[in-house]
Amino acid sequence: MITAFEITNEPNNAYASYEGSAWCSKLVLLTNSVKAAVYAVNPSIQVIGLGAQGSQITFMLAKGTTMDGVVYHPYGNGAGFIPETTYEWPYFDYGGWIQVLASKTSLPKWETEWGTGTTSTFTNTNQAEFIARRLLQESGLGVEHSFIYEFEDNGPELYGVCSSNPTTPKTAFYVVQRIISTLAGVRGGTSLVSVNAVANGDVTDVKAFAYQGSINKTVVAFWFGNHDPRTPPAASTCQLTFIVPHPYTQPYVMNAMTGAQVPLSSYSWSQSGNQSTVAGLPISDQPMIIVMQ
Amino acid sequence: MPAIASTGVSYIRDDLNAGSWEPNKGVYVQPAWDMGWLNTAKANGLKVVAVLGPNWHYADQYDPVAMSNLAAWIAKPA
Repeated sequence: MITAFEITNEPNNAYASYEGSAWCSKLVLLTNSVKAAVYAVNPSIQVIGLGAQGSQITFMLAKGTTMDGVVYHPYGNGAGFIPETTYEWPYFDYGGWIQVLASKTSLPKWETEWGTGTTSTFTNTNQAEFIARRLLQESGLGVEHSFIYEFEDNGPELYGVCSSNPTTPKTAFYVVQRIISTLAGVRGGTSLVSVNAVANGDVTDVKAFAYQGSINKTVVAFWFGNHDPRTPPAASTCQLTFIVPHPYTQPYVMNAMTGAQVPLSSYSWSQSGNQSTVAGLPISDQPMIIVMQ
Repeated sequence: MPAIASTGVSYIRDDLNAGSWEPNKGVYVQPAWDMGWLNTAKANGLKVVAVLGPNWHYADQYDPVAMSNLAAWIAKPA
């Protein structure tokens, strides 16, 4: 019936107010207590938590935990419209935060809320792009569990990938469906992508990740990050190199937003051993995905 | 719930209202509302992360013993 218990939602808010200044210590004890009790009756059910923010989490981890996974809610920093940012004080770069967390614990990461809402100026397409970029980045970094907040709009809160009354898919619904399907059986964090060149020189904004698994499938995603989808950097072309350690046929490049596909052979593509290099790839703020299977 | 499953996700997450599962101290029940969505999730092949929060029946709403006992009761195989 239940796969995991998460011990309190965002404990840095209501829980911290209720428990006072010692809330971090109390939460560690509470979480360890629930873990022991659940494990005693049903070891298959996980207990996850400490889901506060940034240094609060690392502080609690240092106190010693017996739980099964670390929770956080990496919403975007500031207005929350740039998916490569987060608010995990004092960490504001999403990738940097994941790196810090991984250095503190080997527990699986559970991002049990993240997302962004549509507004009169942040369109369904903007939201879909935010979600696409973040989904591809978190998976590319090997984050184990990711929960988009939320499935359907909730009153004035328009974070849903569907609008409500009646339930109607927004653009993000189809983008999520497409990315989940494309990444089925593979995940990131094990293989690197080399960015050899970017025609307009905007190397610092390039995000590029490879996804592999036990099946004969390699996926590579790339885009220009670090910008609000409404104010993207100039598009360009790039050259990428990555490892494909298995046979494949009919590789293609897909626009994550539209699903439009073109054969990889449309670009300047070479293979040396198990190393593939592709030049002339279009790159913009909208993620592109290479699929070799 | 079928629409959620159609995206390809494998989990959903929602709150369990501790006060409904333990309406009196040490007395546990399966509340109809929560059991409704939990069973629907299962029927649609979705795993569940359940958020366990405060129980207002206790002076300490986050009593570690009370929360542990409740979680163990819910977790116990049928």
